[in-house]
Amino acid sequence: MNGDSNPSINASDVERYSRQLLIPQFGPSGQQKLEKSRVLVVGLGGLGCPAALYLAGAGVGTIGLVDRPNDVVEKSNLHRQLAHSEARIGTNKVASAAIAIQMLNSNVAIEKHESFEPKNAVQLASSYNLVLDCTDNVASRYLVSDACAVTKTPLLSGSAIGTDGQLTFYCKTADSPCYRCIFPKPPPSSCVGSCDSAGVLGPVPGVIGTLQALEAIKFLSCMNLTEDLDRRMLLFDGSTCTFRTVKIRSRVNGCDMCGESSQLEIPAFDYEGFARGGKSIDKKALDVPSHCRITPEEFAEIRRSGSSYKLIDVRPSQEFDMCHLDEAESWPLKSMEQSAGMDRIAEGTGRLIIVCRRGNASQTALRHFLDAGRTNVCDVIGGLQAWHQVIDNNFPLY
Amino acid sequence: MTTLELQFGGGLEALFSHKKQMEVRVPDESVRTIKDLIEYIRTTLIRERHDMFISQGTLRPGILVLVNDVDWELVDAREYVLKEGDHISFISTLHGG
Ligand SMILES: [Zn+2]
Repeated sequence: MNGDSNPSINASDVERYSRQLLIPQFGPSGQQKLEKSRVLVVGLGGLGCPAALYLAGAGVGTIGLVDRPNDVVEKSNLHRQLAHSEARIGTNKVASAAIAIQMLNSNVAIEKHESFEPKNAVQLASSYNLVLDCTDNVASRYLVSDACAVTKTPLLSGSAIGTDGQLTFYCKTADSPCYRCIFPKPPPSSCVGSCDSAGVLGPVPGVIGTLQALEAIKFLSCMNLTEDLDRRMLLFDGSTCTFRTVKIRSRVNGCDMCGESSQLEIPAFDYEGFARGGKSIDKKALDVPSHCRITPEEFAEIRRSGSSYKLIDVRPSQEFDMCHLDEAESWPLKSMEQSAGMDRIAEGTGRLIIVCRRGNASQTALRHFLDAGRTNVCDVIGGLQAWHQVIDNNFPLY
Repeated sequence: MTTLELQFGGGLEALFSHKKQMEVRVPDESVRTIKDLIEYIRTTLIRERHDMFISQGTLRPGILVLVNDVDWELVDAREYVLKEGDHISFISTLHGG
């Protein structure tokens, strides 16, 4: 059967991959190249799930998977991280994605890695033909790019948040830029959104992760189409369903990583510190006295005792609308910090308790109250997330 | 006066009442280069949270500037001389996944 096609593709593979084998620029030789390829997917979230599944479906020979060691599947991941499942909530994401890949295509060899850190990043990147950056934070993005720049491993870098997505090819050739060439300094952390805090519509990372897989398949099978995303960046605006591709710079000679006089040593570089370096939150503002902070248990006791207090929830109003404690009054930190809010802040003398999502914004609010001379005010350590974990697991976790 | 189309993306539109694009007419004596345009945007178009756009007197890190869909580093960056009808984009890099 199929006597004329390449003899090294067996009958079962011809059937499995027939629809892509029919693409003239791909064909049996493309399939064979894919089967010999090794791809590393860093991050098994909204981008990594579709990317890894499409790579597996297409028959990439070896797929490496890595995520943070403690990153487990959560219920709030399931609207977009479709390789995971309800039954695998609480399972490590790498293990969960490996199961999904195995179920889709048992021919794929899966390599599970425990972590991608400064001490092993170079060694990991160097053992793959291509890396997909599917991470969700600034520090990891610099680390993945640095490891690819130093090992000259092509890097397809995707990102998504809200209804926006971006995708580009770094380190593809000697002239290609790395992430640091384009973004030498990290943004101030107050300008960095994450899907956990800012939200994301599931199909948005789905679109970008799927395109990462498409670009990976074209690259690995050497389809030699005239244009790829080398020195181009795709901008996807899901709110208007618009794709734009813009031209970006080549490798920068003065780049801290891939420049000629780079001295950056990946294992010794403090990535977390570097990413926090652009911090713009006033450190002093969070310096609240410990006696002004109460634990969720202490707050629960105050609630039970029936003593009087006012609970102020300083989260943004859409989060308050999603869920809140019955007695809470919404006063978003943002409006508190406007001048009309600051005028109101010193009013009253009764007991005030401040709560937010995780216990950070509440400290900033607490600082404002204390600075305004208000006494008898405290905030709840760990916020509503701790409330869920320690006191009431019926209160939604998000 | 020079007429320009400004475009904002990657979340920066939040600084401009969620407008992703707007046409502006800028005085050509005082707003000659992109550097001047950044100052013009800071002083006349942004009402709050200037730190999302400017830090230490210059464009904050993490914003890609495009002149007619081309990285400004390929066309003189801050010193690029604005031309009638130019599309200038400010795109914040995204980190989520
Ligand atoms: Zn570089």
